[in-house]
Amino acid sequence: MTPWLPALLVAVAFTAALVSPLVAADEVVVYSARHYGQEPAFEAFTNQTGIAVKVLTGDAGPLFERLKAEGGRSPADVLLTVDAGNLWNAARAGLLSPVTSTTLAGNVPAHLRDPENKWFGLTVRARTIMYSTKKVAPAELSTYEALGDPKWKGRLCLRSSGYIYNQSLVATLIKRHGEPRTEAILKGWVANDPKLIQGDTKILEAIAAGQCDVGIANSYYLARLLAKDPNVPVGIFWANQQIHGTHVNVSGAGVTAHARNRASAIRFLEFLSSVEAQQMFATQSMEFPVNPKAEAHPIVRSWGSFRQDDINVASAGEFQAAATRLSDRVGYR
Amino acid sequence: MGAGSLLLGTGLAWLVSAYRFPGSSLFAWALVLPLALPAYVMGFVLLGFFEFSAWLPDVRGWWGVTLTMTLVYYPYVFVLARAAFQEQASSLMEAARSLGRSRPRAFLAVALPLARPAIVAGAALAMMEALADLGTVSLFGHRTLTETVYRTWAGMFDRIAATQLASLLLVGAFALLVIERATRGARHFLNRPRGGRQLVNVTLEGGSAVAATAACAAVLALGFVLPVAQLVVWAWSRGLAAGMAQTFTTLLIDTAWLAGGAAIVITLVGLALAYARRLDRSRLTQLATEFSAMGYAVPGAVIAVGTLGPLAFADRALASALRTIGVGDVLLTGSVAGILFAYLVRFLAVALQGLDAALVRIPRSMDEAAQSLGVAGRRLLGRVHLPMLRGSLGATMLLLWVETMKELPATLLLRPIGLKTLAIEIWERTSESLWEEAALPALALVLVGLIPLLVVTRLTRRTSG
Amino acid sequence: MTPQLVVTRVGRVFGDGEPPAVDDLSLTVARGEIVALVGPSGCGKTTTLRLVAGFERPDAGEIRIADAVVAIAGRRFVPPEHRHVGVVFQDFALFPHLTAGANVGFGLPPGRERLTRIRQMLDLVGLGDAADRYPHQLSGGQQQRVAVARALAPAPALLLFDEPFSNLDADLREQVRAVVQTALRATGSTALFVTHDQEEALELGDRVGVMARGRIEQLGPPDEVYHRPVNRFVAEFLGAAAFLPGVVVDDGIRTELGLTAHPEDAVVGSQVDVLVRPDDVTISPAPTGPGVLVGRVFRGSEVRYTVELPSGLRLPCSQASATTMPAGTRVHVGIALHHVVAFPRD
Repeated sequence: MTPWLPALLVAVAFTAALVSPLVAADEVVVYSARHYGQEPAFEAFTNQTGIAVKVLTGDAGPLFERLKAEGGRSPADVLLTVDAGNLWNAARAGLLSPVTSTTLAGNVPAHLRDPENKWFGLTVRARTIMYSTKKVAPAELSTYEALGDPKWKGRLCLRSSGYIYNQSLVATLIKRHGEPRTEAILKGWVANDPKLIQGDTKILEAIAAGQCDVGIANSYYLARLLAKDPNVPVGIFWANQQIHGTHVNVSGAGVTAHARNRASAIRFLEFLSSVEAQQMFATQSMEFPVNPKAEAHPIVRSWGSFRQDDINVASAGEFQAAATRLSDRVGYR
Repeated sequence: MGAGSLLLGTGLAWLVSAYRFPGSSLFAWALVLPLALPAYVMGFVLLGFFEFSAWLPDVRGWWGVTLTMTLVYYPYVFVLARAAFQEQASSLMEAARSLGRSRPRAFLAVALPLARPAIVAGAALAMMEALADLGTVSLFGHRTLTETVYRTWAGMFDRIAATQLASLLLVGAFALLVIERATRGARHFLNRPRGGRQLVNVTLEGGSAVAATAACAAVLALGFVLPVAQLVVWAWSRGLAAGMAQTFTTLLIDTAWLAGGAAIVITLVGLALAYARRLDRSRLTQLATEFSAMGYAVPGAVIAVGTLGPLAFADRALASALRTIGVGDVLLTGSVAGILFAYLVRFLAVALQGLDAALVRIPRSMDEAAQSLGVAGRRLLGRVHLPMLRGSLGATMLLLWVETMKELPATLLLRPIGLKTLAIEIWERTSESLWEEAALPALALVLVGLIPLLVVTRLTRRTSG
Repeated sequence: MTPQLVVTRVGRVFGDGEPPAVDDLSLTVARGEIVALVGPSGCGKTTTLRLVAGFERPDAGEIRIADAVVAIAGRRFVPPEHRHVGVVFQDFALFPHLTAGANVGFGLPPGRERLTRIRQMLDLVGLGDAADRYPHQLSGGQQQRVAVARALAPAPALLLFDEPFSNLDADLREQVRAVVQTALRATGSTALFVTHDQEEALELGDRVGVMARGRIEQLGPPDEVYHRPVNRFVAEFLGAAAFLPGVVVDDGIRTELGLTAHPEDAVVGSQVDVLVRPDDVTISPAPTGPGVLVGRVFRGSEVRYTVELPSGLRLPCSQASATTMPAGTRVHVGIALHHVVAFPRD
């Protein structure tokens, strides 16, 4: 026996200990690009069904890439991510499989899920106009388009166009108004020299601190801020109420194309759309529940009801490329 | 950022090397401390620090990124420049002065050009690190090349384009070093001839002493003391007990364990390669080892994506192999082995450089002496080289341990389900703007990062004193 | 004689409680003169040089270079760049990032004459063709010559050499020394050398100063300090020496080896030690002779023997190497002293 053989055996044993065994246990493996507020719902699912939930967090892009690389041998059962555009892209890349479930169809309104049933919205967030309650009267506000009015010059705060929620907002605007008019809208914003700020919370803080007077942000960020300090001088305004309704986006999930525990994965999604789980989402993350029977967080409810743009959120993905092109063209960075 | 680090690092290094003023010996090592703060930690601290700042300029702009990166990366220049200044024989400065140059002019004409390779190397290192650093940039939302790579790939799902961009980045970093080397020409910079004495310190007095102390103190405060204090305040405000929960302990153990494994594996591979270089001086071996070290210049995110391909390929090959012998199915992608592979690609240079330098210091006559005494081959390694390398091996492993612990993008993408490290915890919290919750793991990371700094400082003191 | 360097009662102390590195030292170097300071390590010779160069500040005394006061302890200090001194360092201190030519030109003002001067200086040290080479491409001896050329180029008022040849091999040393000497004479330079090598000092200096414990023990022409040392330390430091005990009598000193000539100012009847150099001792083989050869070192042109006298005293003795005697040979021993130097016995 050569002296290298034991060393080789040790090396093999060592390697074996480090690779991940693929065992089909009764569990649901979730690849999640959503990092906040879902844990209680997951725990509740395990408590009720005895099925364990394992989560791998990451950014959407890298997670998709990993899923692609793993291919048919991926351990993932469910892909959970924010933004309809992301979901649409995942579906188009063949990462998700269609699910036929009357429960899901019943719980999730049609415009908040994939027409091909490859993914389902789970929470809803409105991306709308935020304003300084000290310096702006709600009557001065109306539509996204109106933020291009010269009176907001130097008073507007935006995130960069590359930000996924803004991409989706612009994409739905294109779907609603067509490219030429959307281009005019973006030009109006850019002409107002918007202060580009990274982070919706930062935009709200900037409004509170008087650095700008109006901005666009997701609804739950304001709710979280108000939960910390009810006196934050920032108000929410539902844009486009007189026309199509306020732009909404979702976080959602789908069953992966090669799910090992497909049945459990579907059960998992059904549970997440149930009133019970929806209530948990709403309380934790302060988004709107996707299920109309569930109630939003008290702070969110205090804002009153509003009209959602009922265009299918999938258009966020469909017009994503167009949105990027358009933003680049008008110089919205 | 590069220019900022260059000026700050070189200036401070000259100050503490050539002058004596209140606190100068303290600053000589304390100014290295910002290295212990990963850029993403520094970034979120600054962001949180200036959170409700109507009166302060917007830190999230261009200069916010620049300031953060300068503060985080200047120590690379500082350390190398200081070492270079210290190595310079004082007779060179004295010669320049006896030939009619005043002290500042002698500095410009002699000390600075002599330290150029070290300074450029430091700046190159700083720039590579900065390019490789995705975390800071995504926090501040400012575009750098790295981010562009990342976005191209993450946003447009275009792996080819991303790979092309990444190659471009590599070429750029490489070009910087090549240009430096080319402009050296026939010059030599090894300039400590036998028996030369070290630079003699000049004691500063009065206003200039106060100014020097103040400058160093300001940089140290901004780059280390204030951020750490802020972290402590945040961690405290959340309650230490809450933070110290069991999940945090698990987090610590997992992080240490993963980084430890990586340190051992990378050191062993590095040792093998460095040893191969020593034994076989052929061009091919030299080139191959040089090449294997280039991963250090590549952003972690790019490495992560880049390793996905080979891993998936290996997985498919492994699957068919295992099926034929009838063993259960396994995955390399998303396994510890996969992560270790990515770490290896990214950090091999660290091990290779350290061990190579250590091996070079063992003169060949030592091998020959051992051989003449009948010790050769593998026993030469065991009986002569390894005992002599012990210190360097330890230092290398320590350095790798900390580096891998701080690594974020590759860990994030390639980790097994359920494995979480301190860096990932920080990322998860900060991506939701939960600064306070990120403070405790960040502090832990900073503390760990301090260890190698202290050890290295002690080592260099021992050898110089 | 115009003095080019005047050092007056200069002192330098490095730490509290430490003995002074330079202690109340005075020294004058005339224009065009070469003075070599020699002494064991730690005797303060290098510190003296650094004080003159302006790399150190004196704690006492005054230094003048070419009639300009460059340092008065505690009052006046001219920095090195304004002293017009050229320094050649032990490690040569060539700037590694500059070519030989650029090194030589470092201290020259820019202008047309600069290149001429560089060329002239390099030619002077025999390196006219090395202007474009970098220091590491030159041999040790060549580097040394560039260093000398660099120091000479600005035509300094005074040249200082700090152990300039100690980094060179023995044969190279001779060669470079000759080049340097020629260059110094050719330019009429005033120079102060510092060395620990007594041969070098004796060979180079118009005058040699032997230093110990921060002071100059003796300063004078080489033959004077060698043959007429003022004390045992100087005697021993400058070459192999033995001390033959004797008693001063009316017509000389009575020693084991007979009567020597009469020394100057010796008190009759006092006990003294007579300085004996190897070339003062003569031996011839004699089976009944009083001396025994106990050691022999072959040195090429000469053989250095050690002779043991009946009293047990051992003397060095150098003989031409044409004929050699084996150790153990019994010999007759005689001394032929040209200058009788005797020190009172303690």
